[in-house]
Amino acid sequence: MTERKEIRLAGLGGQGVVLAGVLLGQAAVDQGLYAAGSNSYGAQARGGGARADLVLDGQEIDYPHVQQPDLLVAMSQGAYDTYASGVAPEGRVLFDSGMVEPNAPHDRYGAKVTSLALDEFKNRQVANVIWVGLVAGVTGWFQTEVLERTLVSLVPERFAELNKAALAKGLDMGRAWEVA
Amino acid sequence: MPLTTVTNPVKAGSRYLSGNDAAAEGAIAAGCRYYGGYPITPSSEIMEYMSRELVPRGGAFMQMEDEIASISSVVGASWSGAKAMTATSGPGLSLMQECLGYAAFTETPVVLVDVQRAGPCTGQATKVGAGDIMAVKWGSHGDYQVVALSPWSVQEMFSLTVEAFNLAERLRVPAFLLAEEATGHLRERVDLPETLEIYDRDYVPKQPPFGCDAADGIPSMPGFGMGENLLVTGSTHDQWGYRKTEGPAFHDSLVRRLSQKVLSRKAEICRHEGYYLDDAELVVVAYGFTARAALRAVRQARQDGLAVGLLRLITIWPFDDGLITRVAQGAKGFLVPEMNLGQVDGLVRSAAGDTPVKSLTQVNGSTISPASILAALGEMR
Repeated sequence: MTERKEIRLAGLGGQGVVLAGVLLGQAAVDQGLYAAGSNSYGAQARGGGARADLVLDGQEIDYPHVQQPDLLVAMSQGAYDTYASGVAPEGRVLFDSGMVEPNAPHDRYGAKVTSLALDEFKNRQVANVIWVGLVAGVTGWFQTEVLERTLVSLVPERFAELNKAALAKGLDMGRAWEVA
Repeated sequence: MPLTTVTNPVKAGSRYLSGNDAAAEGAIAAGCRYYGGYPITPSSEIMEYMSRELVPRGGAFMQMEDEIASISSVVGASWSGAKAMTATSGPGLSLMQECLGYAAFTETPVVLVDVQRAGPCTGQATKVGAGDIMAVKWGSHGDYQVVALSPWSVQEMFSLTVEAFNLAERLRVPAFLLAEEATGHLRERVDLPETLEIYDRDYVPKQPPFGCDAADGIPSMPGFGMGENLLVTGSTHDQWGYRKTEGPAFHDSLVRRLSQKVLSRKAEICRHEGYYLDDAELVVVAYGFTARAALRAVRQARQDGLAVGLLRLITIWPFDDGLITRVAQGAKGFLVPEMNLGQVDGLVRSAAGDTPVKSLTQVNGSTISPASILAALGEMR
C-alpha cells in the first residue's frame, strides 16, 4: 500500500472503538507505513458516541485528519446515520447488521459482529478485534502476521489466544466479503 | 560549549505515539529530572507519563496543589541543579504567570508545555485552540523574553521538547512547547533517533550567577548545595544576587540584558521551514497543527496551477520579523490562518511592509481545514 487511505471507526463508548484504531495504527507503523490517528468521544465513559480516525500512507502524511474516509466501520445506528454519507464514492461501509439498519443499497458489508462475539467467543469485548480482522481482510492494506503480532503486544497475555482467534475470524469473514 | 551527544534513553526507531506521550519522552530524553504539575485537559497525559517514568529514572515527581505551586516547585528544582518542567493548558498558564516572570527575572531554566485548548477562561476544555500565543510572551508583567516553539507533528512534540530544554538551559530562560490539543492527542508514527544533542547549563565555579560584562551575556549558573553562596530573588539584584531596589543603573542594565540575551541570538534560536517558496506569489504563514492543513492546501493549490507556498514558523518567540520581511519582498500577499483571532497575524503585518496580509481566523473548537485555507487563497487571487 503506497497511496493515502482513510479509515473511520465509529460506534458507542465501550465498544472498543479507540483501541481498535490504536491497534490498526500501531500495526501499520509496525509494517513500515506512516499512520496518523485521532479520536473523538463524549465526556461519558460508556454509551456516548466514539470515533477513531486513521490515515495510512506509504509516505509522510501532510494532513493527518480524515477528510473523506475510504472505509467506514459503523458499530451503531448513530454512527451509521452520522458518517455513512461522508464516505468516498468508491469507499466501503462496514456495519454491525445486528445493530444498524442501512439505508443505502450498496452497503453490503454487514455482519452481526456483536452477536458473534457473544455467541462464538462468549466475550463482548472481542467484537472490536473481529472488526479489526474484517477491516484488514476486506481491504488487504495490512500484513496479517504483523497485525497479529501487534495485537498480541497490546492485549494482556492471558487474553492473547482469545484475541488471535477473534482476529482470525474477522480476517476470514473480510476476505470472503472481498471475493463475494 | 557543553552541547554533548548522548545515547537516547527512550526507545529509538519507528513508533506509534500520542503527541503528549512524545513530549514526555522528549523531556526524559533531554535529561529532565523533575516534574511538578497539576493535571488539566488536554495536557494530562504528559503528567501521567512522567508520574510513571520519572522516578524509576532517578528523577522526582510531585503532584502539586495547583498550577501556582507547580511552576514554583519547578523553579526551585531548577535551582537545585535539575532540568525541570511542567505541563498545563490555558487556565493553568494564567495561574503560572506570576512565577513565570520570577523565572525570567531570576534567569531560571524551566520548560513549560502548554497544550492549548479553546479559551478564554475554562472555555471548551476538550477542544482545540491556539489562543495562548500572546499569553506566553506577555502574560507576566514587565519586560522579559521567553522562547516558544510550535510543533506541527508528534515527531516534533518529541524533538522540540528536547530543543526547548536545550534553549532553556543555554539561555537561562523559560522555554515553551506551545502545543495544541490536536497535536497533543494525535497519534502518529515517529522515528526516534539513537543519539541526541543535549545542552547542559554552563557552570563556572565562583562566577557571579546574575551578571556578566556583555550587555547580552548569559551568566554561569550554580545550584544550591554546590558550595556557593547563592541568593535568588525576584527583586532587582546585582550580579551576586543582592537586592538593589534603589538605583536606576541596576534595574536598567538587568532588564535590558534579560531581553538582549534572547533577541541578539535570534539567528541561532529561530527556525522555520519553507515549502514551494521559490516562485510563490501568495505565501501562507502558518504554525502548529494549522500548518499541516496549510501544506495540504498549498499542494492542492499547486495542482490547480496557483503559485502559492508555505512558510512554517517553528519558533514563535522570539518572533523572526526579519524572516517575514525577507519573504515579503518576493510575495504579493500573505495569508495567516490561525485558531485564534489573529495573534500572529499582527506580528506578520508589522514586518510585512507593503505586502498585503489576510487573516483567516477560526475559534470554534475545531481545526482549520485545508478546504478553508484553499478557499481563502482563492479569494486572494
